[in-house]
Amino acid sequence: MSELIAAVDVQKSFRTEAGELQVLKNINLSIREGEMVSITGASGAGKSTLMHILGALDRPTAGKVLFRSADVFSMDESALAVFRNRSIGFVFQFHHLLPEFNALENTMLPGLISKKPYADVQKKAQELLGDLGLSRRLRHRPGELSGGEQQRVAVARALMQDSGLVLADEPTGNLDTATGNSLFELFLELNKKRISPSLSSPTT
Amino acid sequence: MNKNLFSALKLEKFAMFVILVLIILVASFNIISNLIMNVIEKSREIAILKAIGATNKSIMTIFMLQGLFIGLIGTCTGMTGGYLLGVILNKYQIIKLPADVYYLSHLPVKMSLFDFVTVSLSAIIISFVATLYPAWQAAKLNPVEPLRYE
Repeated sequence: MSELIAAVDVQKSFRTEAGELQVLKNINLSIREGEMVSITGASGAGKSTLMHILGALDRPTAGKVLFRSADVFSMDESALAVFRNRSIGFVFQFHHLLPEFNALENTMLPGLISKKPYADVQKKAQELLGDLGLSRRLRHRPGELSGGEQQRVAVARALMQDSGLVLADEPTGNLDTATGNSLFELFLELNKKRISPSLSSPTT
Repeated sequence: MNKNLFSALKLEKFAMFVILVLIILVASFNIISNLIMNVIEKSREIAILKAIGATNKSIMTIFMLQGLFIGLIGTCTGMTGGYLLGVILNKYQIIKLPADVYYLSHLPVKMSLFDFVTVSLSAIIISFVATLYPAWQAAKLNPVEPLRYE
C-alpha cells in the first residue's frame, strides 16, 4: 500500500495572553492507502488541532503535510479548498450539518460545490444514505433526526466525493455508548467495503 | 426680481441633498451591520462550507448576493411606496399650502422616470458596495474555531 498522507515534523503553537502555547511538537506520522488509524489522547492533547492540520483547515506553524507525496500547504487558499472538497471527508464531534437543508441536500453539498451534475450527485447521495440505513429520512432536516442519524448523514457527506481520506474528530463524543459503538462498527464496515481510511480521535 | 427666492430654493435643494445623502448613508450602515451580524451568526455554517470545500470566493458571493437581494427588495418597496405616495398627494391634494404665500393651494408632486431610474440604480449600487466588507469578512473567517465547539 502506498503512502496516503504524512505529517513531517509538524508543529503548531498559538499566541495567548500568557505567552506562546505549543500544542503540537514535531509530529511525524504516515498513513497508507486503506489504513484505518485511531489517534487517542487526553483532552487538550492536540488531537483536534492535528486533525485540522491534516485536513488542511489550519496551517502548521512549522513542518509539512504530504498528501500522496504532494506538499499540501504549498497550495494557495483556492487550491486548498478544492483539495478539501475532493480529497478529504470530515466527520466532526457535533454533526455540523446545515440546519436549513434536509439529509439528502446536506449529503449532496460536497458534490454540488465541485459543480458535478445535479442528477448524478442526487443519485449518489440517495445511494449513500440508503447504504447507511437512512433511505426513509432523506427529506428530514437535522433537527428531525436523532444524534446517531445526524452523524450517519455526516458520514454520508464525508463519503460523497470518494475522498481518499476521511477524518473523524471524536465522532462519537456526542453520542450515547450504544449509538457510538454502532458508529464505530459502521466505520469498520466502510473501511472494509470502500477502502476509505478513517482517522478518529476519541477521548480516552 | 425673484433672485432671493431662487437662491433660497437653491440652498434648500442643497440642504435636501445633504439630508438624503445622510439618510442613504445610515441605510447603508444598516445593511453593513446587519450583514456583519449575519456573518457572526452564520460563522459555524461558513466553517462547515469551507471544510467541505467551498472557496473564499464562493462564500463572498453568497453574502454579496444576500446584500444585493436586501437592496433590491428595499429599492422595489421604496419605489412603489414613493410612486403611490406621489399619486395620492397629486390626486387628493393632502398637503395644503397658503396660496397667498406660495401662489399654490397644495403641494405639487412631479414624478419623472429619470428620477426613479437614477434613485433605483444609486440605491442598488450603494447596497452592493455595503455588502463588500461583510462578505470579505465572511470569506476570511478561520473555520477552525467555529468547528471546535457546538
